[in-house]
Amino acid sequence: MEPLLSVPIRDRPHVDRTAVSRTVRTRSADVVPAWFERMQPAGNRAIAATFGAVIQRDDPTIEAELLDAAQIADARRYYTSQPWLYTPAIIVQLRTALDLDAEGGVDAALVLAVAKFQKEKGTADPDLLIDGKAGPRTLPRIFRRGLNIEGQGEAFGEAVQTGVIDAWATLATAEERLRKLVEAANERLVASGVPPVGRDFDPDATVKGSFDFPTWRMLVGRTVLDAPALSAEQASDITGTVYHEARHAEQWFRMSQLRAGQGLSAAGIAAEIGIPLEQAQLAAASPLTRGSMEALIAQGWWDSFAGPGRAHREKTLVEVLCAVIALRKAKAAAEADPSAENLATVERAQARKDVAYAAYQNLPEENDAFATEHAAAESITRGTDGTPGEIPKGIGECPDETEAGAPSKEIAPERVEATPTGVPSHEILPDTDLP
Amino acid sequence: MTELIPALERLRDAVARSGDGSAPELRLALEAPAFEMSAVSFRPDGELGHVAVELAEPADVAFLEAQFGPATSLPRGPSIGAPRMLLFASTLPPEREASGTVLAELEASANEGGEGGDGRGGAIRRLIVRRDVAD
Repeated sequence: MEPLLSVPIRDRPHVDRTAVSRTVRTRSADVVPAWFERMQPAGNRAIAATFGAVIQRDDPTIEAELLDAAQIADARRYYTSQPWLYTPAIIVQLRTALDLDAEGGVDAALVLAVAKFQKEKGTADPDLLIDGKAGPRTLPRIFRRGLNIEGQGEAFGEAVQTGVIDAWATLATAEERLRKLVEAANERLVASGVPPVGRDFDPDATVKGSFDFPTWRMLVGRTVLDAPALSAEQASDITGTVYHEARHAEQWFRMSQLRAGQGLSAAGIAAEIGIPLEQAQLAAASPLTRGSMEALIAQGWWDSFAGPGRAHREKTLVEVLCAVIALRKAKAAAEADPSAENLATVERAQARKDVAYAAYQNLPEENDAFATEHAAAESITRGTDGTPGEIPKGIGECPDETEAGAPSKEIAPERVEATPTGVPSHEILPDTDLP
Repeated sequence: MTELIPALERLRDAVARSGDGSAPELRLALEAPAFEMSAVSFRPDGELGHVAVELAEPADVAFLEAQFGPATSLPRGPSIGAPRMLLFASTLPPEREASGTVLAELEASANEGGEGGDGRGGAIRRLIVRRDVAD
């Protein structure tokens, strides 16, 4: 059987950093923003009155064109329609972290402060959507923990630079290089209260890395580890990959701790999430406190992995695999015969892959892991001694084969937001219920 | 196919008993004709982690469920190309016991990422017997 695990996860598409609204700073004591005035004839008096009060009371710096009135109202509903998640205590923490007065509740100032954070600090590829909603992608970047605390990725990267990349020839074997890489990751995991992962070669030598949660192992393909030399870019890539997969291990442990805090036993966690009983028992012994920020962040990952976002996630993972394979096949065909038809197929396949890859990176757990890996990858400043060569990629097998370049399924750019099981994630309350 | 279940039960028993993976019964269990290939993996502390076996003949979910109880379809792992996995939760150990927990990897099948499916379609050629020890 051709193994499915045959597509390197680190095949990056061109990232279109779509321009966001120009920011215009105005002092609200002097000027009523145009969008505020536009709200009045729209008839939403509740929002207008509330926001007017905010302006008069708090005199905030307004990011006047970051979000329009409708977007602000939508973002406020996002919080107020999920009171079981965005409790008063969570809102206080969010406001405090964003340098707002703690007791202001879900007001426009909060939405704009979140949007400002997304614009100014949410630019680690993948960029955060600027919508004023502190959901499962934005919250882990505001409230950093474990492997994404500032300095952790850099420390890992520096350890890999000196302990693995600079010592590549001395380490000599793929086994030794893998051991050192995973040991460096485990140091960070253990320091973050996460059980260490095991290690193994991936059955497909061309796969760069993956976290196998049912066996709690990190898998790395032999090809890169067997390479006699790595360029700085290749060294950075494998370092980022290993840190990315370590972050997944942390996410899976936090989800397990979340479920422990919600009452699941160790056996229940092992049965539901599928992790080994040993790690489930450790999670059960260290549950996340219900209603805590950590629990809210882990809820976002769980919702994507096993909750209301699961079907979308499965579809997204299949489509990105098939899109990557279709592109590789199209490129191979065009190399052999660069006909106009084959080149057009490559173009279509590239467009399909870009869409599919963006949807993949937008999964909450992937968005977080991609954003987390950069600190590690960027700490690699040099490759190994020797002359690096090209590291080959596999082709793989699409379980739902369609003609190359033709999307098999449309992946809607869904935003899966944190929601406990059985509660609609996008329930919208009427405007009159806004605080 | 009929040889698979007794071979798996012997393997589960050997995995449960072999803390460091050195027990002779583990080696013997892996020599069963029902298994074409096998790989033994260890945890960071050196203890036996799990054994993966490739089946000589593919099995289906219902056949394994008849022996190991209902299978739960686990969400995919966080990587492109991660296989679909089933967990036979009844094979997890009771309190203060060790067991060989059975997981199955489903082969790729059409429409596996589509709507309406239960994620259980496809043959099983690879099984994992994981050593779990309950506190």
